[in-house]
This record gives sequence, structure tokens and C-alpha cells, in this order.
Amino acid sequence: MKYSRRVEIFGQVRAKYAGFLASVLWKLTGDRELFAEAMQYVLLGMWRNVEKLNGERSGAYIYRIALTANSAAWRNRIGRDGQISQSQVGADKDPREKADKSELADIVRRVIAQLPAKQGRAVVMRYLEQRSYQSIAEKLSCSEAGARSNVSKALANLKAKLGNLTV
Amino acid sequence: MNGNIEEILKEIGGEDVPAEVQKIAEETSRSFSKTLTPSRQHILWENIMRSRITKLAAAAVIVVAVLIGINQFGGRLGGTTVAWADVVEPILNARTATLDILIGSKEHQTVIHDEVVGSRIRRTVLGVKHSDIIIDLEQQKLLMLDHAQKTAAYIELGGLPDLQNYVELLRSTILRLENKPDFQVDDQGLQEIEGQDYIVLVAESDKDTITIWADPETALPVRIEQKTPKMQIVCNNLQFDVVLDESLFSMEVPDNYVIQKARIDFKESSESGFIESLRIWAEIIEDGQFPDSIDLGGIAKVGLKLDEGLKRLNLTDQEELEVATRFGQGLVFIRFFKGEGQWNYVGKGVKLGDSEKAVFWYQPKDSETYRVIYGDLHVEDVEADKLPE
Repeated sequence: MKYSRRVEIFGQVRAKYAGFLASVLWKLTGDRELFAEAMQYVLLGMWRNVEKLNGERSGAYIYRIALTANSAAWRNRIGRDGQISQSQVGADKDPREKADKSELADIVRRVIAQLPAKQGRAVVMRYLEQRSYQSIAEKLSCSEAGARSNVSKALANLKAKLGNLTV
Repeated sequence: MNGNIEEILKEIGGEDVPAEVQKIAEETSRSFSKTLTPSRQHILWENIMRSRITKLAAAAVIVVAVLIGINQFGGRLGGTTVAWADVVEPILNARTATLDILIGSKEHQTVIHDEVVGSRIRRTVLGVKHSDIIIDLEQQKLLMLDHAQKTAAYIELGGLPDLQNYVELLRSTILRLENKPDFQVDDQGLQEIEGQDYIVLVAESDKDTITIWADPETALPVRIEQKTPKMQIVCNNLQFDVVLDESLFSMEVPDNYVIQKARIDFKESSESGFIESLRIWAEIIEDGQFPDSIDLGGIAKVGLKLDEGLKRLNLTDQEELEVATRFGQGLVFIRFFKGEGQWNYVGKGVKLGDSEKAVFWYQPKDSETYRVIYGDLHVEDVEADKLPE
């Protein structure tokens, strides 16, 4: 594909998904610095995969790119192992007392960044975008039951990773 | 527990994007996009006042032949590893690059230095003095500037649907390969070159091999070697995303330069055109004898000899251009070979005019017999069991 064509497609895709990307990345990061970093990863991902974004499946690819970018940005912030330190919510005190909702939201965000790709997309679509299971199934190219299963697994995974840090 | 998590998720989902964050998104996006668009897109083709012909155009034709040769390789590899993904990352995302391309064996090597910005390449060929070569792959044009003689040659490259620079070619090849289910790469561990350790990755197909040497700490590739049955190309001193002065990639000709132009059409590929190239090669370039080799390395070395040959003939400017263009045009036949299998060159040591000795043979597409070109440039259809050894 010619360079100019790649630039053209990139511009079109960027304009089409600008609102979606800003919204999803903000919800997933909740932090300006992290958001800017994830945004850069998204743009790089879009440029790298611009050929794939020129077809009917572009919406599905955008989800992948956004979630991958979010994970990369979080990985830079908290390290590759992604372990949640007790100190992040105050190890010396009962987290139930210490962690307010805002802190818990941040913890949930970083755990979402570590979910398997499909579960991550499922939980983002279900809760951050309030999509129906039918819509999620279409986006994930699976059955409605499959979509429910992915959301359910994601919640279980979140629960396991969060352990007793949640209220 | 799930209920609590769901509640937090719903709260996150209900958050609006602050105006300030919206602004960050727009600015990040705008800055990124700006780096993708070359600042000078316009070509002053319409401003070319006249067409004269000099040896500069002849040299440019050789550069074109080499360009096409380089851009023909790649495409059939196999595998993926984490190391591979890291190593190819800068290739996939680079917006500028500099590299040296080494063609041929160590003893007879042609060195080309390329600086790449988007669709434009600024090329320097070792041994071609006082010249700047700018190739615009998107516009399919080449500009060669001889600052000593204050002359400029535009070569229009017609008939090529998609030209890619080396980095673009690597990029599209990698993306294509990574989508193959059987993609595999052999990680050969660390190898020392001139006191420095490099990760060595080898990707192979039945006839082609690509080897990449990368810095073990940064995973940046520094050397890429491509081997095929008919050529070996080494790409060395690779650097990505270096800062380059885009004004040096302009396709505009400085004031007071004499401008010439030529055109090579890559759709035109014929046996007769190739025979004419062989004739020019033997008669003008090699002074009555066929060259040792007509592979990419052989073509890359032709420039100086072609200049000398044209000088000996004492041709007019017009005749010089015609000779150079015919030579470059004919080479399209082997660079974009459309016959069955591989072509074979056996002309080393054969004198022009020798009707007994074959210099070249190939099998046309869908043909049961072979075409053999002899030293006097006549052609015969030959059965497989009667081909020259």
C-alpha cells in the first residue's frame, strides 16, 4: 500500500474513532499522564495496523489496539508483573477502611489492564460502554452466551486479582 | 463481591472525559499525524524547461536498475518469537531511517547509503561523485543532481504499481509473515561482531534466507542480510527514527542547473528488449565481451564503464540518452522475470558475435521448450535435454 494511502486511511480512522478512543482510554486510565501515554500507543498501533483498519472489521481492531495500548501504558507505570502492592492502598491499615472508591477504581483499572485480551474487551464493552450482550457478541465474533461467559470470567478474574482489597 | 466490582466498573463507565483530557487527545493526535506527512509533496515536473541528455541520465538509469533489484526481494519466510517481535518493532514503526546497502561479495562490493523519510530516499552510491540522488517512490520519480556540472536528471519510473523503500518493504513483509500460521524464526542466540554481541535471528524459506543482527539490550536491528539463489544483499548500520533535514529530500532542482529527463516503463518487459541490453553491455560497456555476471552486483558496477563506453563512441547527447534508456529498459526483463523458474546466465568469457556459445537461457511461461540466446544474439527454441551446461 502506498505511503500516502496509509496516511489517508490513518486520518480517516483517527477521525472516526477519536471520541470513542478518548472516552475508553480515559475510563481505563483515569490519569492524564497515563492517558497521554496510552493515546500515543494507540496512534502507533493504528499506524502499524492501518491496512487492517481499512475494512469491515476495523471496529474490532480498534478495540484490540486500545486495550493493548492501555496495557502497555499501565505496564510502564506499574511494571511487567503487575502485582498490586499493599502499600498502594495502605498496607498498614485495613483496606476496607483505607481505600476509598477513587482508589479502588484505580486498582480496578490496573487489573483490567492485566486481563486476557478477550476478557478485557468484554468487560470494557459491558461496563465502561454499557453495551448489551448481543452487541458484545457481535464485536467479539462469538455467541451471546460466549459474551456472557467472557464478562463473567473477567469479573471472576478481577475478583481473584483484587483479593480482599475490595470492599 | 462481584456486585461491588460491578458497581465500581459502572461508576468508571459513567465518567465523562474532561475537556482538558479531550485537549490532550487532540494534541497528541495532531502531533503524531504531523510526523506522517512529508512537508514537500509537490513536484516541479511542469517546470522542466527542456530535455537534454548527458551521462548523468545514463548513471541514473543504473541507479534505477539497482533500485528495482533491491526492491524485488523478500516475501517468503517462516516464525515468530518474542525476540523477533521486539526486533521488528522499530522497523514497523520507524518514520525515518538510515542504512547502508551492500551488494555483491566482499571483493566486488557496491555500497549504497540510503536516508529514508516517508516515501523519499536520499541515496548516495559509493564511486558516483558530486551527485545527489533523491527517489520519490510515491511520485515514481528519481532526481539526480550533479553539483560539479550543475546538471540534473529526472527519471520517470512508469508502470510500477507500488514501489517501496527498503524499510517499507521490510514492514509489509513482516506484517504479511506475522499473519501466517506457520511463521517461524530460528533464534541463534548471541554472536560477536567486532567485539560487540548481537542477537541473531534467522528466518528461512526454501530459497531465501533473512538474518537479522540486533542489539541485545535495545533489540534494535543493526544489520539485515538477505540471500537468494541469485543475489546477496546486506543492509548494515541501520538506524531508525533519526532526525533528518527534510530540505535535503526536495525534488526541486536548484537554479541555473541544466535539466534533462528520461523515462523507464516497467510494464515493458520483453526478450527483444533484454537482447538489446545484452548487446549494449557486451559492445559498449565491456568492449566486445559479455560480462562475468548480470546479477544485481554486476549491474551496480556498470555505471563508470557505461560512461567510458559512451565516451569512446563519441555519441551525441540524444544518442547517449537513447542508449542508456534502452539498456535500463531491457534489464526489466530479468528484474521482473515472468518466465518459468529461474533465468540462467552463462555468458562469462563469451565474445559478442560467437554464434556457437550460449549466453542466456530461460523457459517462457507455459512453454515446454526453452529460449536460448547465443553470443551473436540469435535465439533458438531448445528442448530441455539439449540445454547448454
